[in-house]
Amino acid sequence: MFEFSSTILWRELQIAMQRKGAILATLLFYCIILSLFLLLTSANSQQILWLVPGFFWIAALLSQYMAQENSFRDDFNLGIFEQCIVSGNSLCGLVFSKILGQWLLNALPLILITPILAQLFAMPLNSICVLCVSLGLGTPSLSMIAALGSAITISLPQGGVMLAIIVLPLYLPILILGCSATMLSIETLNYNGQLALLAALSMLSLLFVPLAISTAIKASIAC
Amino acid sequence: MLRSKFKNWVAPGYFYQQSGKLVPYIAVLAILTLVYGLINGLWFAPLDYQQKQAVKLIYLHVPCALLSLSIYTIIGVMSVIYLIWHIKIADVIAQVSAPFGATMTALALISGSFWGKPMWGTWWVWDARLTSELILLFLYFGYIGLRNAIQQQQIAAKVCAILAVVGLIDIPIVHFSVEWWHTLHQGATISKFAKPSMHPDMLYPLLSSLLGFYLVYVCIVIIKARAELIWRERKSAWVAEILLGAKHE
Repeated sequence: MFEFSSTILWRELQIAMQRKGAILATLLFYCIILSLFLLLTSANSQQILWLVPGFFWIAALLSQYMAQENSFRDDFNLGIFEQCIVSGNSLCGLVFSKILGQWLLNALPLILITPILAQLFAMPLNSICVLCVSLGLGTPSLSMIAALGSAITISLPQGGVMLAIIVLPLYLPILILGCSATMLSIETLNYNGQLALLAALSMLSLLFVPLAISTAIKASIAC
Repeated sequence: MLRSKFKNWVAPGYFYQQSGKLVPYIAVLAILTLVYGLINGLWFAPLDYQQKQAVKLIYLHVPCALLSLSIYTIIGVMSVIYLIWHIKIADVIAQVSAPFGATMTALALISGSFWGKPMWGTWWVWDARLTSELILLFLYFGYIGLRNAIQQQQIAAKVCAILAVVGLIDIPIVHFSVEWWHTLHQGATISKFAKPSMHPDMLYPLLSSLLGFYLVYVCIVIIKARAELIWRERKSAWVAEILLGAKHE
């Protein structure tokens, strides 16, 4: 089981290494959205400080969504999932390591670049730390939910707008918790509760989402 | 005894014939309760000393809001039943409930904002209830859209069931996250009204119109489920039996 998962994870990373553009594209997308926000509201950065966590979270959310949009479709069309079922391996394990790979490729670079970008908004250092931690705790569930949407729309030729309608409302709790943790840290209030809830939501999605995804993929294969 | 009855009801043919017999009774009951509830509520119920005429929206708004949540719960429960036991009727009920539920959600939002304008001074407030109702509407749209987008019946049924269950889990999380957000961040929202306990003259029409709305829902679901069933099962024996039997008479 572990060996199988790590093989899949390694494969995922290798594929990404072959097309380096994909990782950079997500990162660039994140930076561009943030700089658009920055340009729109550049009047006085102290006045908009309370909006900044929202900018970061919206940018992270959209880039995760874009990165995951077609993550399952290629493998589905290639028949990877059929092979996995036929060979008696756990589809859950495959799904889990695929999502883990996607998270490592698309979310981790984004979290690492966040401190630099946050400097542009003149955020206090403590809040930058909280922002990064909250992104670290929240992005797993963002990836999970995006992957779920991708798996649900797998039998459609294109996910597109349908996927956005399904996925974006489900993001709301994570967005709210992530933003409020950072905002509370800007106001020098206690933010531990929000971070704990973010972690709890990530745990919850970690437990159930791979199961739901593999059920959806099996349903799409069987017919 | 009960088990065999349940098994009968789960069979599409039996459900089709028996539920058809129930429709007129439910419809009559629905009309009676709605007429009593709405006429008493909209004309004869006493006005609120503070809200004046606007209080009468309660007879429409509350049933819509309650139904919007109950219908989504029903869709979620039916989806779980479908995923576990593969009972076709459960999927049919989930499918035909969704448009009605979406309508109820939209009506609850619209009627609520008509009430909110004179009472709160604004059409919309980012309050926990309003936000979760709006997200509920989006979930309904996602569900209906996904149904329509996927051509293959079987895939659509399973995948939509998964989506419905995820949405069902999501609704309380959305509600509480918005609530905590606003309790921590004291905004310009008007929080809760101290609700005076209702006078029977207002309470009975409200309960009656609530019951009426639920009965209308049951009625519409049965009618639409029968139509959907006969379409889905158009190649099976029982449909031919019913249709040809009707022809012979």
